[in-house]
Amino acid sequence: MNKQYFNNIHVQIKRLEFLYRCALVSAAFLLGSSFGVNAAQPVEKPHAKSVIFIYLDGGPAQTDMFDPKPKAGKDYTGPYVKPIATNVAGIEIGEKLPLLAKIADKYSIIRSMTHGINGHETASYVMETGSLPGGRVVYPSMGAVIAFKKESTYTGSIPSYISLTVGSSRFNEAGFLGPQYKSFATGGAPEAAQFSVEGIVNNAYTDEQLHNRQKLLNSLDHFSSLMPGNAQLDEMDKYQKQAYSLILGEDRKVFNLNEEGDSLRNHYGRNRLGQSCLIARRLVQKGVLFVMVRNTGWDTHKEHFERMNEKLPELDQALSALLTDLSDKGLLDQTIVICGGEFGRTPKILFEPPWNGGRNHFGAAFSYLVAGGGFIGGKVVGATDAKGEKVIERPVYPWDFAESIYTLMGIDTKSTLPHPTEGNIPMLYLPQDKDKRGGMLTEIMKQ
Amino acid sequence: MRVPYDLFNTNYFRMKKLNVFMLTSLLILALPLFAQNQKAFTAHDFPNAVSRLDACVENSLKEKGIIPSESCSDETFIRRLSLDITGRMPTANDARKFIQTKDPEKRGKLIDSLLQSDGFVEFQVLKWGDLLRCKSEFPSNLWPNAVQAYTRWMKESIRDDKSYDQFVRELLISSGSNFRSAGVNFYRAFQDRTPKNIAESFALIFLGMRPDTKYGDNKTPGDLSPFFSQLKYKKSEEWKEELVYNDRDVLPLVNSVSMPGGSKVALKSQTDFRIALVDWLTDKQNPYFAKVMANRVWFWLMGRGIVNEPDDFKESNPPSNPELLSFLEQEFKDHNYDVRYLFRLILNSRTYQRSSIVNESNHADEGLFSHYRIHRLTAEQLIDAICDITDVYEIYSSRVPEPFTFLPKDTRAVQLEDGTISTPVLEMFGRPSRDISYESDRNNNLTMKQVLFLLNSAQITDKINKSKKLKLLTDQSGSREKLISEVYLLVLNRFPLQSETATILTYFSNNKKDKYQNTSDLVWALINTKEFLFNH
Repeated sequence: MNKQYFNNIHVQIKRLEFLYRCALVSAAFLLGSSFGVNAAQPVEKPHAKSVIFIYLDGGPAQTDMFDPKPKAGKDYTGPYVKPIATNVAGIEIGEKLPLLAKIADKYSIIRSMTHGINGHETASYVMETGSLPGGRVVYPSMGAVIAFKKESTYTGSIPSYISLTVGSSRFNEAGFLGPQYKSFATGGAPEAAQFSVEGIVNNAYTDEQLHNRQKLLNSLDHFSSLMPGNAQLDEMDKYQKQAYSLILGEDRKVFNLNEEGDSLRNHYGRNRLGQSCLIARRLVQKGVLFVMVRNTGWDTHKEHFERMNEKLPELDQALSALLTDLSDKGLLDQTIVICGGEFGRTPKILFEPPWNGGRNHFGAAFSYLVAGGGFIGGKVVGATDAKGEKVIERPVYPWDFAESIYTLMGIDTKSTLPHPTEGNIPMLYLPQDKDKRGGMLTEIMKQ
Repeated sequence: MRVPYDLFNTNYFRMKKLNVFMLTSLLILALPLFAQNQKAFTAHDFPNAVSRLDACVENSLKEKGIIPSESCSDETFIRRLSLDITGRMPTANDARKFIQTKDPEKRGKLIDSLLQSDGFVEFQVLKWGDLLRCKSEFPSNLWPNAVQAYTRWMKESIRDDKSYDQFVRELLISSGSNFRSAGVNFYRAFQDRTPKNIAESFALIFLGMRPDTKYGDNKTPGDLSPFFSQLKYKKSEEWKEELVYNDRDVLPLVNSVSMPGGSKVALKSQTDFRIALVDWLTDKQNPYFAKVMANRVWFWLMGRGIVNEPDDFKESNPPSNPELLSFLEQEFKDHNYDVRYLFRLILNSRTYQRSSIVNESNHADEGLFSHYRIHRLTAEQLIDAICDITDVYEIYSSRVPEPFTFLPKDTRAVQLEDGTISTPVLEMFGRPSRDISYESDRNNNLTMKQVLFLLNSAQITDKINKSKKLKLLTDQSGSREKLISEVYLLVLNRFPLQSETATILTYFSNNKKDKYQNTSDLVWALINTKEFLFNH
């Protein structure tokens, strides 16, 4: 019975997804001249210098968080029946987010994010790239695009696009730009006593040992002497020098959380998410362009509320600490913070086996939090119906979202990206159908 | 989806078991075939063919006044050959034996033995998996069972020396279930399965023609999509099974199609149009089919096509040595599209066996093959090599479908048949996305992040420091000199120079750490040398 049930669900999801994609893709085109309803000129002096993306991998439940529906009934709310007021009149959020409720003036909530895709791979591709799937081109993630577009002005020795602590396993973040634009994934555990960062901070060796090993390596470079002037070998020399300036230099200290006081570390939460957010703040302080904090565990098909009781307080603490800390240090105005997953979760709870009180994938209507870097706080964008199952006001599509972020970062969304075989192609792959375009988030963007 | 139910995976496991069984039994059945092939290889005119290949290359060099590089050393040869055709480095023992053997024919013998090894089949399957975009999820969405069926068919075809025209015929004229009729997956590996997309993919892979290229009047790839206009897809009761079939009742929209090269192919009602296409393609008169594949094999072995990129055949991109390309094309046809013959021909040539060390006259040569071109080890070669050196393996798992399937512990990266099964490290080193069928999808550029990873990541240092194999080597080598020599054979496949041994002995004595750490430091250093990181 279970199998049959599961098959049906899958077939249905697939079928819906397929129909949706057919509809979109058949109407899709590579955008040329006209660009969206709210087309805006790129900002002369960009508001934002960096982006921090708190990615809730697996798909967080919007109705338990930023779009509560207390009147939808127990089948929808589960135990979370008392949303709480925030410090902005008229905005209520989920009861498990009391710390965020105190600072709602610092962020805005998008309640009408939609793409209709219910598969992890495709949905995360769409949310992380802002491009429609389909065609023969696989787009790079926003972080890769920003790293590419800002390459000539970025001078730091730390990689400009960083994932804490792992990169995407759902799709290739670098897309057609090539592996050099993939995020630098730190690995390791920021919450541990010593945070090891793959390639940069290796706690197995003292500096002296690192020096000695470097000397040994340099003395065994017989091959170079056989092939003088070889460009590839010279390039490797150059990279090894750069690498050592990072391995043994000052910049690696950005990953050393012991430089922060215990009270601030505690404030973020002594767990993976909290300490990753603190590292993210330290990275943007150093000018890193895009930090992806990838937090897993949100794919709650089963034991949903048990899991939420653990996950939501962690998120509440880490995210509120991050926003406050950025604000206190004067960094929030130049740092875009966004938080959400590849989709939301079904507003109606699945009580039947095998889910026994879980929520499934839901791409039709879900929420995102945005703050800083030119995004105005204290607003709500869009709305869903009484049960949270449908967007009824101001749909926001992933491409609207990406376009807004690029614009705040001062990147001309009408510019192109170089594809290895297709030539220069538009930055985003958009649906032709105007109904599938909500336009940039100008209502919450500073001009 | 995180659903801990075995039942979703039963099929997967059943197929795996069946797979092993079938492979073993087929292997036994196929043994006599190998013996026969061996015979075909030793035909009298083979040395003559090899000389003619070299003459093609050397004549063009002479015209330009270029003096080619010397023959490479035996040490370089065994490493290069193993990497190029099996994707793996030789073991220390194989390297030692080969270097020390006095047999003047040892190179030819090694070529024959590696061409008959499992490693050759594995590495070819990897390359075809790249070309055919073999991937279970996004954007190709083949699904694991289909990826397995597809791969099994490739494996068997390559292992059993199926002629290239037969391989392509089976692939393209296929109908049935994606889990059972492997070839139909060719028609499924698209985000949008339109006849146009299929036709473009066909032209790219088999005609070396890119869809966006403007060709001269006679050379237009034309619109080949009518050949794929009868394809239909339907689902079955089995989860993710899909039936691909060719509906002959679909009438042709055009009476005939203008083919690249100028000829026309008629589309007759109530026939499978694909058959007409494949007949045209595999005809010995076809001006592209054999040439494109011969050039591709050359590209795989030499790191650069005679037409380069190997999937960009057009008038404005002529072959760097037309005579050479025609020769290879003709040999391929004369040997009935035998791919392994083509490998053997090229590998036995002086041209393939030249050193990468250049001289004054040939250092600037890019496309005339006066020396071997060094290139960074590919993602899979590199990771497998480090695993082999340390005997500490990577864990690969498939997250489609959930719950995750973990692959056997000793799985090599080269054996990963599914583009969806990956690791951050493989991607960092430019493993192809399998989103497109261009050879350039595999990125062998060196990046700063790769260098950081090799120099200082816990993943690399842990492998080395935790290696029982290296500890054992340290304990059993007797003297430090012997140990150094063994480590060199293991990592660089050669004996150390005296000066190198002296340098390392000094390092060992100055270093107060234990002997195992000394070995680790040495292995780490050698893995970070250019000599290791590049195939030369």
